[in-house]
Amino acid sequence: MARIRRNVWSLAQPWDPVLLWYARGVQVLKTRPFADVTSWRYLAAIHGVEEQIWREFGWLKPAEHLPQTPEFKKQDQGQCQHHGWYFVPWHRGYLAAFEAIVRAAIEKLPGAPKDWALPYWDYNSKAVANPRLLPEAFAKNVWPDGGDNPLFDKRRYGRGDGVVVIRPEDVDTKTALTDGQFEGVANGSPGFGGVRTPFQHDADRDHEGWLEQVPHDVVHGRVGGSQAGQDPNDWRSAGLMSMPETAGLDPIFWLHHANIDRLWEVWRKRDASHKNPVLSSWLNGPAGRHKFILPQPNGTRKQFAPKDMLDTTAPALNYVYEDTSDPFAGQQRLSARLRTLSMAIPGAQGVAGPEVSSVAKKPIVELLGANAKAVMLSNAPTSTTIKVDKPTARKVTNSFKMNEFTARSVPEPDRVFLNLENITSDNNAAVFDVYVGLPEGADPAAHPDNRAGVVSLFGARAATNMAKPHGGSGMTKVLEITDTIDRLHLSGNADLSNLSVLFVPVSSVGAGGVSIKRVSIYRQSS
Amino acid sequence: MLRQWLQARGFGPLGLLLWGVSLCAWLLIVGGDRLHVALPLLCGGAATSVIPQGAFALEYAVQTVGWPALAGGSALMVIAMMAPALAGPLLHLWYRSLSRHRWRAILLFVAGYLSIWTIACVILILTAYLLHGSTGSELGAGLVAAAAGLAWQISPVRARCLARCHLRPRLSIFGAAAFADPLLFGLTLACWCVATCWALMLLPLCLADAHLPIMAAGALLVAIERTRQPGAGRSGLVFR
Ligand SMILES: [Cu+2]
Repeated sequence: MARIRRNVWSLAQPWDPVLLWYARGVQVLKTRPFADVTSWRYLAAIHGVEEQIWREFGWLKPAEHLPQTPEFKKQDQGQCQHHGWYFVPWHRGYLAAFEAIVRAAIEKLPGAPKDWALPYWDYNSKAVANPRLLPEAFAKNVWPDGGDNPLFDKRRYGRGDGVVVIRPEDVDTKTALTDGQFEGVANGSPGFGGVRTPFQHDADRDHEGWLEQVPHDVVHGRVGGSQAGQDPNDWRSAGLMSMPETAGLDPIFWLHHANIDRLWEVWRKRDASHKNPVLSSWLNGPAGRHKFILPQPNGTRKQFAPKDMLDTTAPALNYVYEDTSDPFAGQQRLSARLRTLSMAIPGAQGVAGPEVSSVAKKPIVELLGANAKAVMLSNAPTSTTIKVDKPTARKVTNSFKMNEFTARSVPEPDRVFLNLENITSDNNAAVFDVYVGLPEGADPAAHPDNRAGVVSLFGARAATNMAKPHGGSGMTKVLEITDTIDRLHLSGNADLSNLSVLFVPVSSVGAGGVSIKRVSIYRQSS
Repeated sequence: MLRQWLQARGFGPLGLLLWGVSLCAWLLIVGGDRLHVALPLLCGGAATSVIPQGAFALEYAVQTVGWPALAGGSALMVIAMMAPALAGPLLHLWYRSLSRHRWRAILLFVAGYLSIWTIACVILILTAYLLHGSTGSELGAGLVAAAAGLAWQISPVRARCLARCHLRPRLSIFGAAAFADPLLFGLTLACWCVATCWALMLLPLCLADAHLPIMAAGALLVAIERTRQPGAGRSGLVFR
């Protein structure tokens, strides 16, 4: 029987046995020496490590050093895959390795359960009034066994004072779950799972999928945050969860990622058309020297590839989630959009419908407009204006006309994507909302329809650091603004010559710490 | 089948195109190289001080080979060695330009890139002449260039120059900036590129007889270094 990963909110609060045994397992792992591949620190360093930060934060004592084995230096440290299509399969393997090591540690303790499995933090759970709160077992430095609570860490700053505040929109899974494509395209829709990339630690950071952006990145930034009263652009004030180089040290990391992993299952199960990539370059993992390889409970290391991560009930994984039901009742992005359009365009009823194919050839993605110069964000709202290229805008308009007049089997009208290009910042914890098309001086809170989404700069510091491979050019974020453009078209105001973009800081955005080289929009035609 | 095999190894259509361009430049160099002909003639013919010697060498080079051949030969050499490394910047220009301006942006970029490299090549050729003159032999010049190049190759300053080759600047799409930005991108990228790779160019210029195999080795090194997939194994200890 496969073990069941339980929702933390369906467990008894605060100290259900599942959480208590997790805490005991974490305690065992934390006492192991760093060089032990099954130790807390070794496992966290696989996600990311930077000696100076770990020292400053007390995870390396003055006499200690990073492990000196060739395995650690050449392969294991900083293996995590972000900003690309290996994000979900690599993290599934990472969680499974961690879970097996914790379970093996627990099983050596008296009275331990035999079927312990990692719980997940469902921040959209219906079981409690506010599932976005940090579960109490993590939030307070007390626990039944006495002494320091192994699940607590004071470097979890949340809104600044240690209280984790997450808004519903920070964990909105709708964009990710209702997009039918796993693989995305650069500058256009990044898809559920991201754009095709090679082995991707510290490489170009332009290709993360919807799931990785929200809720993954945002939860990292909202939980870790940065210390109130300190400079958020200085890494010394950052919470563990805010930086890839320290995130794995926080025990809540693993419950957060268990939920991300669960959402992959939800996406896959909620519609028969939702398919993982079938290309061998995905299935068999990255080409080249660097492979996915992770420690086992017996201290050996085992290589794996995405193809080993497709079925969670396979013997090597052997788990299921308590709940993988569909929160959106079968709703799909494409059909929802076409329904809205067909209701609004006279005579178009019956055109838009299931016969519109969602996948075909590779879509065309092209630049549609851009702002005039780089934008520097501050702790007050900052705005910029995108000037649209007229000839390209006509193509967008024409894609709607085709929909009005053609009778059957029409392609979907163009989708439009906002690109925040080459964002550089030393601040990993910054989170801001982005609004598009707001009238000048309008209160963003009064125009939720104009909200393009929320952006978290998890990983920005490494992307900005020139000393890192491919560092210095920053990261690019893509947000879909198709709905807003649709509304403009339907309102007859299809002259998209200028489009305002407003950045509203949500947390940890200091003055002058975040620069966006270019704000642009792209059209994607199917 | 073949396409997937190539793609899995990081060879997209653009990568293949650039390797093709590089190969063509190679064939042209092998077929009719005029850049190196002047070199052996200079051996031993030494003036006493460096400045007149350099001026003499330049005059001599221009007289025997001619400006167009000098510049053309330099450009060919740069194309042969650097084309495969330009995939990243070219994709940046392609995706970040309006579709009808893509080729214009690429042309401006290439013009900027090649002009800086051609100037650098002329300076490198003069350096090679001077090394010849002062050491008296091709081998001597080659050894000096190799020693200096090796020291540079392993220096941290070079690593920083290399990192800047990965920069992707903003590209404006309206007004004069739409012309200036790609051109400026080519100019600045070439500066970092010259700083990173001058030693690989100087060595074949010094050793005229063996320049083809040396250039080939250098080209391979450049291609590996620029397109290498950054991996896990590196210490991330450097802070700004
Ligand atoms: Cu993460």
